[in-house]
Amino acid sequence: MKRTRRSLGSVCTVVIITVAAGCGVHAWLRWHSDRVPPNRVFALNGGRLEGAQSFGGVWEVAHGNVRNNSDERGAKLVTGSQRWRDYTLTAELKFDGEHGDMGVILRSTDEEEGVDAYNGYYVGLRTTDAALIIGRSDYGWMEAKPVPMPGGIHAGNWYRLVVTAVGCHIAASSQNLTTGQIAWIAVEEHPCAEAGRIGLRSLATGGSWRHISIKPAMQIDDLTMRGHAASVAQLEFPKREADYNRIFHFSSTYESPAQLLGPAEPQSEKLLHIGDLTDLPRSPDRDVSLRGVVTLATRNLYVQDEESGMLVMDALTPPLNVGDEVEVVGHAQPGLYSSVIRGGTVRLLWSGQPTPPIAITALQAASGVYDARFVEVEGRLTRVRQPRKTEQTLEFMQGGQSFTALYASPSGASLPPLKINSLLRIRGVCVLDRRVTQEMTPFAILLRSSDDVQMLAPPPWWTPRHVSMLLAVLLGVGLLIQLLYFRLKVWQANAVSQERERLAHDIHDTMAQSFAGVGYQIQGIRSGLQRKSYPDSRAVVEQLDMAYQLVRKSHEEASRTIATLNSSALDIQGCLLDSLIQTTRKITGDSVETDARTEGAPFRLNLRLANALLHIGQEAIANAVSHAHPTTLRITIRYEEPRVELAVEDNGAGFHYSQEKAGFGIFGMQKRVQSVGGKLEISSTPGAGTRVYVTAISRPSTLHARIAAKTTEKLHRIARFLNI
Amino acid sequence: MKAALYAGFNAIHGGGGPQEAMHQKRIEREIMCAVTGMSARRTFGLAVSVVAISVFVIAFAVWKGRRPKVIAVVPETTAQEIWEAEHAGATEAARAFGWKVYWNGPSREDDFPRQVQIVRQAIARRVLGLVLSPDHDVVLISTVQEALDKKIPVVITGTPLGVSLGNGLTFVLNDDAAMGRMAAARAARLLKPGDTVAVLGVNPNVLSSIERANAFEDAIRTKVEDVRVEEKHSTSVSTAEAEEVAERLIRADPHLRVIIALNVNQARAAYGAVLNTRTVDRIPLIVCDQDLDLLHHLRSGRIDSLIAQNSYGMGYTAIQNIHKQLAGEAVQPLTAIAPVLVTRENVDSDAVQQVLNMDWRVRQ
Repeated sequence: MKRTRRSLGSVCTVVIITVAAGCGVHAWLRWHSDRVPPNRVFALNGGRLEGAQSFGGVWEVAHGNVRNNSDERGAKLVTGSQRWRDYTLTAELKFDGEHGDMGVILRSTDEEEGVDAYNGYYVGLRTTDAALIIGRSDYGWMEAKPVPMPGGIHAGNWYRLVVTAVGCHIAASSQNLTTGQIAWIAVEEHPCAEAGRIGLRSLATGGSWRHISIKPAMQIDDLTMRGHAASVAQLEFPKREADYNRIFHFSSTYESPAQLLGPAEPQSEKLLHIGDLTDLPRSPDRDVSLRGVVTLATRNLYVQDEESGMLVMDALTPPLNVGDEVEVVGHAQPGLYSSVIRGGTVRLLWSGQPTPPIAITALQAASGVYDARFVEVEGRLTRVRQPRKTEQTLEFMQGGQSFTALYASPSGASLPPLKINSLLRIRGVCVLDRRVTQEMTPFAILLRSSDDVQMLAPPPWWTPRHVSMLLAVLLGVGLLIQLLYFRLKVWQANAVSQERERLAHDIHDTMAQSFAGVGYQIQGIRSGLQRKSYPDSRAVVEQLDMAYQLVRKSHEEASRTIATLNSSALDIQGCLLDSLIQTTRKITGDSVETDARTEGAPFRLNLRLANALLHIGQEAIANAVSHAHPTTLRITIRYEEPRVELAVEDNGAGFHYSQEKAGFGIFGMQKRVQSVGGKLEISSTPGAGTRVYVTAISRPSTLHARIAAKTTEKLHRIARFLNI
Repeated sequence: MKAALYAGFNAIHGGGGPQEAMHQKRIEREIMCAVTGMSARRTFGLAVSVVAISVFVIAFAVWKGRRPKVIAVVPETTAQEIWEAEHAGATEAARAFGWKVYWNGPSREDDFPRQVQIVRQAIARRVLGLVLSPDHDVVLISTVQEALDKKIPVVITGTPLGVSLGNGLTFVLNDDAAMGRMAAARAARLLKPGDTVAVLGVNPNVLSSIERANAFEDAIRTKVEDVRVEEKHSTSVSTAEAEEVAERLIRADPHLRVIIALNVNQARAAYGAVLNTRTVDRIPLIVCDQDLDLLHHLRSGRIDSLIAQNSYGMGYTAIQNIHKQLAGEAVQPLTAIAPVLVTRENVDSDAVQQVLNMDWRVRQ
């Protein structure tokens, strides 16, 4: 049994170590493999770049391209692992307009919304100086000397960027896919950003990316790329303005964007703002010229200035992005809350920065003051509908106002999964036009991209389902506690019952028999006196003496029982032998010579075993003194961890021992030994004394045993308090 | 429970005497063991474990709650190089104290909701100090107050905030009045009596623009007789709108001789307007605040002069202020940093280039 248990323990240990080692190896392999990017082309799943996270911009996937429909400075779309180290990233890109930067990010970490709010490298094309650039961003920007792009950089052309990062060397090429012209650039930096994610980034322009792929890179890849570059540059601009001005070539387009677009349309004497349109007479239509910033360009064209917004319909419009500053010339149709410009033309003036949204409540939005303006509203989602494959409608409620948010994606991209009752913040153009709201809600919000929906808080947890689950769990826990409580009560009751049984055995073996004898003596005296069978008083006195002897004996038995009760198992747990010697002295005084000894190295016995040995020892001593009248008692305790042996030997009268004739005392000892899994041996010969021998194994106390011992202790304590 | 057992025991046995005390201690041990079901050794082991776990938990809490040695520097926008100089100045000063600089701001200078968000994130990170160039003179008051309530010293740079000084708040501002006077002194050389000078970009939401405009007007009237000052208010950062305003102004007033642009956007708009109206040679531009493209135009002679904020000096001084505040030293509540007049003649001088220093990559 013992061997089996040891084997089981060894097997468990081996299994645990093996599993732990396996986990460690798996984790190391995973960590190591994460450092090497996979060789793959990024998929455009569900209208999104695989695993991408956006930081600013208006991103969407359309016609197999990733697009940013915003001029936001430093808009980023980041994907991949932060542990990717050496890789070659390839992407093709196309500018929407003639201004700004577009490119790719590599080895990026700590991304936030902001112009240079990431830690990594950026490789891109810049229209303002028509150059290929590499720079380091660490919440600031520092670049190498730009390399002019042969043939310049033009809107509508596709360019292929190939970037290799190995160690602290980064090299890149840019190829005009129309003309085939190529530029090369290489830099090194020490120390460098060694690992990070990849991404797409644009600054002050919208544009498209396609064929985005990545593969692990080796030293040879870097050497090949660097071999084409004129030199390996350092990141050192713009530290001083003077140095930067010498290397930076401001293009002519940058100097006068409006001038290059030709003279403006004839202007009215009074400078009109968009808000002024609602004050114009409703008929006839009047030709107006207005300037503003594009807030929505994908569905309809919405333009706003500092105070108001408007819808532009049926106009000749160049490709526009959110943030573009435009001039709109057309027929004004004043509306109740905002106006519409029909026909005419839209001129792009500047690539600007998207207007920040105005945070308003649903009630304010419903008032019409913010009609056709870019706003931010919070609301609790009540329903999600998809009337068409390319459209989704979100229904909201806030402060008693219901409203909808409409998302239309030509590519069929959908919003991320949203849970009903979530608290969301949405950004978009606020529209009160009944054709849009379908007279179902006071207003609707036209979303620009899926990034315009931001989760503020998930649905509250106290839904009926969750409350039911919580109640069920509480009920289960309550039942479990109740079950444990009853189990403990049963254990306690068993322990009390066992102790009562032992006491009953003790009392039966000692006091009960003595009291019965006294009763017989008194009854005999009474009968004798009634029958006048006593010849003289001497016979009565003799019988009374016998009764007195029995009473005295009963008193002694009671004292012994009380002495037994007074012994605390906790006391003797560490000094069993002393306790047994004390018991002997209490019972016999100095009339019996006691030889007590300990053999082996004593160790701490478990509480239950110590208690059993004490009582067995006391019973054996009491039996010897009561029945055998010995002159010598020998008590021996032998420790051999975890085994313990107790022997009580006397040189008294002895008796013919047989299992069948055993009294309550011996029966009690046997029960105690059984309860601790031990073994009891009694050997006796008439005239040659008696030997009581117990052997048992000390095991850690179980809860049940502790409760039994605790109960016994309480009984002992009660006995002490009552001073019996 | 233990106390109740003691009380019961004492009520029966009474107290007193060394033996009684020892006995009581023994009983106490018994009760402890009886109640907990544990031996003294096990109790000691448990106590050691509890202490060890407590020490670990406290150490972890201290480690988690430690204040990072980071100063948040939040400019009006990170899209203009004028603020890169503040970044460089702050980084240089922070290096001396072993601090790091967290640098981020909105991508346009009127995006105060984003600026509020960035500042609140910095407060949540429990930065050592905050350097803020507010995008609005009122909106950020509550956010700054929140930082001060959390004992984070705040230094306002650039333009003032409409809140009283003290209690951990100091200002390191551009001397806007001096800027206005410098512009007036430069314009006075170009103006004749009866001429018109246009001041573009007076923004009621930005106190510094008002101060610049007022100082300019006061100074120019003392320097040039019968000068007409045409002020144009704008709360927009739209270059297109500003350009249109400037063009109309140029076309409407033949006596317009000088344009003063009070910020970078207005400067770009005015530049576009003089190009569009072919009046580059007739109407000199004097612009406030710097950016790389404006300095390029200055070098090419298309902008007469540029009055640069010493944002490098502001960033540097702001960090020193925070250090003094954290050290419990007295700090000057308001420091005005003088601007620098930049012309084609002095743009390459060391004094000017130091103001335009954008080397934020000082090795930390």
